[in-house]
Amino acid sequence: MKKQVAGWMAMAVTAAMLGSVASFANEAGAGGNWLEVDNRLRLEYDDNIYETKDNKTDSFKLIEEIELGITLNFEPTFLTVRYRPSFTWWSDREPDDTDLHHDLDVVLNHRFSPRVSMGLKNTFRLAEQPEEIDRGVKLRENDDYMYNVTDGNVDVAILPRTHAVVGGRYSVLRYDRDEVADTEDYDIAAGGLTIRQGVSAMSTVMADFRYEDVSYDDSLRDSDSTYYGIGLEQALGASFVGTVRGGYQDKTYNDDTIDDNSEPYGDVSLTYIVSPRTRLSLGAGYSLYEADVYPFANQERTIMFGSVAHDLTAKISLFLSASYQISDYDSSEIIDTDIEVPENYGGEENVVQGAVRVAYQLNARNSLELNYQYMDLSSDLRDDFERNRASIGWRLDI
Amino acid sequence: MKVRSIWMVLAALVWSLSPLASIQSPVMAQEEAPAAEAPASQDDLMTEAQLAEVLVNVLGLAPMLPPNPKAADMFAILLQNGISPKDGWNPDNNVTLGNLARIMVQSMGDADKIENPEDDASWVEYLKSVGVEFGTIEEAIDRTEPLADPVALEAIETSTDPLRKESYIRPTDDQQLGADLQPYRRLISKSDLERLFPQPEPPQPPPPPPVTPN
Repeated sequence: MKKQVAGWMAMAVTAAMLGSVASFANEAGAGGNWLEVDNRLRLEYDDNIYETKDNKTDSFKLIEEIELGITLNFEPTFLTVRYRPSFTWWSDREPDDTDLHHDLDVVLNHRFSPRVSMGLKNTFRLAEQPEEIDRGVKLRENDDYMYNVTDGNVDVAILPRTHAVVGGRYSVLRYDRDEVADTEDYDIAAGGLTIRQGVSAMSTVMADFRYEDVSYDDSLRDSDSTYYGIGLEQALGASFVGTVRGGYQDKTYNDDTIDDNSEPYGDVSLTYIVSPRTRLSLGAGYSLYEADVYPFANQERTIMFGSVAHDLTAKISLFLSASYQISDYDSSEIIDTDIEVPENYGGEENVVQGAVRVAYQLNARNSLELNYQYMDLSSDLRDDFERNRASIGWRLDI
Repeated sequence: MKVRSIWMVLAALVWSLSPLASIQSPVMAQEEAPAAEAPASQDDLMTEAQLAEVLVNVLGLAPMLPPNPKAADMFAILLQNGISPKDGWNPDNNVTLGNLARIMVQSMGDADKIENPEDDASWVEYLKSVGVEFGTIEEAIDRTEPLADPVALEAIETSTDPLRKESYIRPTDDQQLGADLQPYRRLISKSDLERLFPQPEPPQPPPPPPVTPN
């Protein structure tokens, strides 16, 4: 019920914003084509809809997504609103054969002066995660949730090449089902300061300080973290942009039975234009992270990905992406719960994913696409599974 | 009506507070400015960093970036979408007519239609041939439309910065631009754990001693 109300609210807010923004954009001359409407319709085959190891259930799906985008340019103020409801119908999923998701993003960027700028961004997600049924037995109830993140920062140029950026973020996760919400709902507040120093036109070094407070409904999983880091952004010539960051994270848990953690963290990302037709992105990161698995208060997450975009012809593009995630759960980070688990409960979860998309542009407004996704989970904490999804889709730029 | 008025008042207020309200529309770098115009001062010129800031907003790329993104974020996503000046993005370079034309054509998705990509004039000529003409950078930006199929290749977020990391909480069938690669997230909640490890029944209290009725 809460989810439905929030969904209707998302639609109502979007409709109200669309109406008022339309009037305002027309009268104030927002410039360009400020309203973008896209429709994406896919027919998909999914060979393991419940993500089970054995007795897989397959299903066809119809996935309909419509995306409304508003981009207003009142330079130096820019407002972007993007709303994307997504509806899925499953041919073989009982008893709930439909899903409805809502995504709403609002971004406001403004430059007060050549030296001072600010940005605000709100990300809202409302999603359904269906119940899991194996051989007619319901293994778990649904995990529908509402998620909202509000981000903001102010960038001040202290000197021509020296910037101070003060930022904050507030994240809220709320599950629909009370028994999940009791242990998984959280609020995360984070804030920090970054000093950025340009050492040349193409290189910037930075120093970060961050503080993060994670509060679960189950307060035993609460934690505070302090981050101290440095980083480098580097562009090399016409075809390369890369960023590397690293530092130290001190994490303190609310549960006195878990020792505090001090761990290094780091991430690297690069974009490389191999040729005018081929773009490559690579990235990797390692840090302590929120745990998806109860009763752990923490996971050590290592993640890496690679993506290639290649224009086969002027009208046909190929996209390849792959990622590998390792989540490490240590038995020493189990909270003081009333559930008895094996003494050395813990271990790794490894997720391998790959995806291919081929997009064929029929004309300025219509394109066709073929998609394939692969996922493999191997886990010490639950059953392994493999999942394959293949779809054909039509995208219409209205 | 009320909502629209609020929007207009807010925008007018923000604009009037901004020192940029008094700045004239930026022009292209001197060598590319129309000969009939007076030479532009450095303050009137737009750098490629400033152009990138405007472009990520008008091309509809802002939702894929952190708020108020830094130059490296903007250059990376523009490169991923095949949008770049002739010699790549350099924050200190001034925008030239040739590069502006190149960027406009790239954002239209027509880069492959340029006969001689190395020649700036080819890009300008192409715009003229399709009826796109502009005198200032502002006019050019007004004619720029959001990308039809924008690509953010970082489908999997690897940032470890608590102010930047994109949560991997996303709807099950969320479309990741580029290829549809969705982060995996499936909880093991407390009730799942109880199902995995059935707990022993709590010990029953001893039965009360039999009472013999009087």
